[in-house]
Amino acid sequence: MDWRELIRWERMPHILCPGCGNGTILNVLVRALAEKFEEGELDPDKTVLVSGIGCSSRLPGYVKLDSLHTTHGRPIAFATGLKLANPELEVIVVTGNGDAAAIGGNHLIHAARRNLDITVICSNNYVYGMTGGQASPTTPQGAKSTTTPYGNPEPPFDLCELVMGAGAPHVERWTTAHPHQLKQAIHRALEREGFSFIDVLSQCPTNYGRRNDMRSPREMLEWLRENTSTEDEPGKIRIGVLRDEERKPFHERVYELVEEVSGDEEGG
Amino acid sequence: MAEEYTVRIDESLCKGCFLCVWVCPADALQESDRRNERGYRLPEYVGGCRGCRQCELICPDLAIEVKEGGEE
Repeated sequence: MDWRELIRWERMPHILCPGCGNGTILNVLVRALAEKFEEGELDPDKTVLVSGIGCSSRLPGYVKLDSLHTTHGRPIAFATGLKLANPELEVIVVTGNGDAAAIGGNHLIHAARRNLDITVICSNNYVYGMTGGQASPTTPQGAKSTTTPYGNPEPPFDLCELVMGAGAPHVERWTTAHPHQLKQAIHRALEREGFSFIDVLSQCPTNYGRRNDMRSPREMLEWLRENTSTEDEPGKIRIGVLRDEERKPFHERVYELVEEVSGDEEGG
Repeated sequence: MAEEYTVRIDESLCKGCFLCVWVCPADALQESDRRNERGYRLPEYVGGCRGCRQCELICPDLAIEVKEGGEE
């Protein structure tokens, strides 16, 4: 399948700002999905995109697949229902740092703990971009935002460590300056059974960059490239495959239990 | 000699962020002074594409296509 068939062209150009990292994520996501459909590994009629509220959560609206645009912070809660009601579905959650880590933080850790078989792509641009650039749980310490004009006094969440601590079996971190690696990461995440989490460090030039001496998208991408490493280097953010293990997914355990319990009733 | 690749830019989709110019290792894309109908300055293909497709993949507006086989 050509990726162009997956875009709702009547809605393009999208509403995202010039140089928005979410655009790159949309670009990479539709290409990865088109390749998976072409290979016959996924069925477009059984692939669902779920998102919450925020700039990143608008992405499924541009993709010609079934999707749920849910309430703020709740895409993983809706995805849990989808996956348990119909385990045949490939459920992909597109969310942001505010959606996934703040208001939806509990859904995130509990989906990781249960090992819900979904893929979560989190566009982590350090602020609440849509509402004007307020600080979020991933805003770096010292960074400026509309709600931290003198610098953020709080330490940020490391989302990958958070979900790994909660038991997520497949966790990767990439940036929008690594689109090719990000595409491969989405491929892997779609192949894995269980909870896959991809933390995508992304740029919001409009509401983060311009308050932190990186007015242009290029400066932000240079920052992402220079301050990340696929090896453990002091002072740099670790990117790459952080964990890749196997664990029985939640829906399998639930359906096995249902069978076991209903079998007992019939037998007794 | 005909070029092996060419870069096509959908000018109606472009928002002039110039990430394509930044990412290109062959300097095959450059900023121009032309603008599209919405007022965004456009990049232009100046030749020399080696087909790495990084511009295609990084473009936040899905406006770039790397075509094999040079200028049509």
